Amino acid sequence: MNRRRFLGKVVVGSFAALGLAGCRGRQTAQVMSPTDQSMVGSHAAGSETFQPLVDTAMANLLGRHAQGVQPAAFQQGPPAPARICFVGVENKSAEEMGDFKDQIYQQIDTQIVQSRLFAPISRRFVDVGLREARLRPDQLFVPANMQTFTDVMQRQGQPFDYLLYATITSGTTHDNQDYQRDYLLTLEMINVRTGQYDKESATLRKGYNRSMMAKVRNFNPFK
Amino acid sequence: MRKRSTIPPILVCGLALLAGCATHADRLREARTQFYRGDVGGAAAVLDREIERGRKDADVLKLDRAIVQLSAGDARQAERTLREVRDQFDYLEQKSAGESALVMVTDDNQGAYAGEDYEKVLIRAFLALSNLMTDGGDATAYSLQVTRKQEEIVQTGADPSGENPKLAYQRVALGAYLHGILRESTHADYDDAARAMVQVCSWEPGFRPGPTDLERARFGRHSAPGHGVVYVFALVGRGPYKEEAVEMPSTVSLLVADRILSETGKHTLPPTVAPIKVPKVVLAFNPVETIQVAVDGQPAGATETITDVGRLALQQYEAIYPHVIGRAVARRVIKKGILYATKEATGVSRDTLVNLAVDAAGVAWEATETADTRCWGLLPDKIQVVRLELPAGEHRLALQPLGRGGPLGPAPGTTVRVADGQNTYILANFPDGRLVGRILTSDSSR
Repeated sequence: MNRRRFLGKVVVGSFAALGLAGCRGRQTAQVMSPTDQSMVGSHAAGSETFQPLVDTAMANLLGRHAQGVQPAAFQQGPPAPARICFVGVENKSAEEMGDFKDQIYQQIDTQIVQSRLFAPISRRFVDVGLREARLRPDQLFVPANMQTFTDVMQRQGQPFDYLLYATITSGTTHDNQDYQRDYLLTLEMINVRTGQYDKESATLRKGYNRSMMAKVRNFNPFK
Repeated sequence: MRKRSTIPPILVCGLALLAGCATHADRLREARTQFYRGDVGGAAAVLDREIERGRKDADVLKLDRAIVQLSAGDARQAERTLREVRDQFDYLEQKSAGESALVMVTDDNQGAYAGEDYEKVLIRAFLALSNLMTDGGDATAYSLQVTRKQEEIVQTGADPSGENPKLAYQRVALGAYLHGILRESTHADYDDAARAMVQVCSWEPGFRPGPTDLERARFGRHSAPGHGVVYVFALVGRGPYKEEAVEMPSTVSLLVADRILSETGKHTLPPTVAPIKVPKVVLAFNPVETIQVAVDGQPAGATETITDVGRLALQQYEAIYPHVIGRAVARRVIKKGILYATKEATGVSRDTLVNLAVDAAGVAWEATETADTRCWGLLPDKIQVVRLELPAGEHRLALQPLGRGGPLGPAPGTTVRVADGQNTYILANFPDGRLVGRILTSDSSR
């Protein structure tokens, strides 16, 4: 081919290719149906981790109390559901939870309401109670502090029988470039009158792949 | 001998074109002057006029407009403006091959501006600050976005060779700090607050209250019963901006290279008469060291730097400067290559007038380049903050800008209502020794 014609074609072709390839696109989204599989966080835990943790831990906890919880005070007629004060979720894991923490609180709170075994106290009252008492959630397990907090809540007209506290922890196992992280959601429930303590937890293991071998091993086109 | 006869006329043509067009820096100068003089309305009018012209710098001018709106007390409108630019920059971050090609045959000003990395992060930080001055409902989300955007920028900063100059970026601690103080104010999320304060201490070790804040988040409480907390945020000093500079070593190197190729090659190349222009980040002298806050006539504390915007801009720009020069040199090489290919394709001989005309056109083409000086020009040099725990109730605060030698100007005041166990936020802009605009208070807008 003539060198001049070839050069001309190369120049024109290059610009045409540049013009056609790679245009900016607006971000799109779709509503996911309940049956759609959640996305899996590539760098940290997400919905795929926290949702099953909450479901499992709450199912275990509520299942154990399905026989009925006896409120401390004597009551005539059918027993009223015990009042539970859910003080919060503490993140002790290696990852930032970002906007998930408040969602986990709401998920747990909703499941307590729906169980009808317990009557939870609104978070707004709990927040005001903590502010009034100037107590940190982790300080409530000191008996004197618990008494102070109980008094504040009673003054608000929100007495309670149980204190519920959730903690997210993690443990990481490294395998050269890859690592496995085990997430553990622990629910601690304390009877404020008797001091009786109950605990339930759920765990989920997740592998993070950085090496090509691990990526190939875990590649599943049908997922 | 041939080149002696061709270069002088080409040089004349090139120099005639060097006068160039007005740059973003030129357009911004008037708005900056008005704003720093304290004429918020005048600065807004200048910016509105320039934005309406719809040039390629309209988005970045909107950022300046947001600072003017914020200083004027319209935090809600400032938030709207910032949100619009944030979304637009997110869109423009994507590469467009067509635009990339256009930029390589013209200059960077012909492409859309997606913001420097520090600007993308600071948009989110200012969104959080603006929102705190209104209802504060989205401030937590914005503060998380600050940290997330930084991570995203660093993670995607690796070049094809695997080197990542962005790993060296100074992090913006303001986002983590805002997240920490917001979570602490819930009285229930001290763990989140402690995590955020760890980041603050790590990213801004010079922030002296950092260890105390971390200690309080780990083991203390938000405030004593009957007390609330006031956070005074101060935007101090004139922020960084870009100016056009001549990259002389690269210009000379390219001139030598094109002369060698012209001597030895089949065709001549247009000489690199027009200098290679690149933007340079310029820092203005900041006379304001701190803002001393007096409460009810008594000194209560002084602001400390949580984010040094000037240092951040300079450091980030130094990290990517080789890339900026590389682009400018590559552009020249492409232009020369296109002219060489044109001569080859059309069969232009060396010693003809047509050859001279093509080279002159080449010099003129190169001389039309101007450096991309687009930048968020009304940023402060530093963002400072002081935390004051005060008894609940109404208090009179006075903000005194201090320089090395003492007070720099008058101490404007504001009245603030402190709520028991809650945070109240104050924002003021001191580009020089005096306040520009007004002092914003979160409790007055709720």
